Amino acid sequence: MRTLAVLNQKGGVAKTTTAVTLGHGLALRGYRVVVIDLDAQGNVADALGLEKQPGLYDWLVRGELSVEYSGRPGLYVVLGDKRTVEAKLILTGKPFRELVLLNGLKGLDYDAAILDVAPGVDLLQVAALVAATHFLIPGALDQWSVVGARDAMESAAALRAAGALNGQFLGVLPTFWERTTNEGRQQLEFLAQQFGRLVWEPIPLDVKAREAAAHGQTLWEYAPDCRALQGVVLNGGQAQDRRVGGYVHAVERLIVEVGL
Amino acid sequence: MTRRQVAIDPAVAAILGEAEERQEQRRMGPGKRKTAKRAARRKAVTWELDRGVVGIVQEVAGALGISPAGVVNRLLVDGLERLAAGEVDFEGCLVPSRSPRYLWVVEVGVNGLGEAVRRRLDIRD
Repeated sequence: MRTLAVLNQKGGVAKTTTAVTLGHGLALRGYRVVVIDLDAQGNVADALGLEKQPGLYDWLVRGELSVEYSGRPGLYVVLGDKRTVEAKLILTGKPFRELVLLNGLKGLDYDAAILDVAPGVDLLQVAALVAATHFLIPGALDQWSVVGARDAMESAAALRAAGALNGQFLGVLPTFWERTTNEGRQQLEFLAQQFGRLVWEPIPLDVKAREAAAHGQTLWEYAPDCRALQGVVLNGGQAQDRRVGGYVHAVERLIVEVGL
Repeated sequence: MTRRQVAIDPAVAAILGEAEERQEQRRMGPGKRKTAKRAARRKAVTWELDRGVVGIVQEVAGALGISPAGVVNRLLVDGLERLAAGEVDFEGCLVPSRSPRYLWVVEVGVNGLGEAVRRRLDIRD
């Protein structure tokens, strides 16, 4: 099973949207996927139109794994809610707490597990990095998010130096990309300078993503033709027009990079 | 100081290139912008297909439930493979062009072709 951690120390950079959209995108291609909500806000449930539940708490503290069917073929979830905070407090006093997800995931049988990691630095973020076979950093194209992406990389580097990280860094997925602003261009250029080929094609800013979340639907359900999924066409003259960005491309790249 | 050159994803490079161009245009005065637009138009390639061919492509696309671009791509690849294999060339269908941009115009005849394709794919009116 491939375990993908989706993380950035900055909040509001589309981590949950990315985790859910990639997860459902893989499920639509026939893979069995479980999305695990490590954030006490429990937004994975919101994004899928489900009731929040202390699924993560039950799993990590009480040892009762509750994988829910999302109502979408191939897509399963371990949901979170405010009790995730309690779980973190309880686990803090336990030995080998950083291995809690790595050990827990051994009992799951899916093609891919996607960990939606909360912003900041805490036990579950470290545990997610320890458990991940791959990790991806979504980053909005603004100064603070780019710094957050760099900080997440530094946490990963520190864990790798300590021998606790075996996962492969897949790259940075730029989100909320605004094609016509200088800020968008400058931050994308900065990321490209920092991370080279590890910068994925960006996800265009799209109001449909917010609307889909408000309706409890994934983008694949709410607006399958939207820019955030399909990307945009760059004008390079009639013969050179090319479509770039969007989650469709991200799913395809993910499948290739993690060897699904 | 020169900027460190790193290899970046081709699509990201294309995005940055387009953004650079857009910024360049913003810096231009109206006159210069107009000239640049005209130059870009001159550079653009127009892909014109014979009307008869377009009609057949649309019929095939409709009958098979695929996009016209899909039909064109499939058949174009097939044609290019045949060109590479020496099974097809342009001799016999070239006539001198009146446009200064090209030496020759390719004339293709589609007489009867539409009917043959329709029969083959069992397309009825």
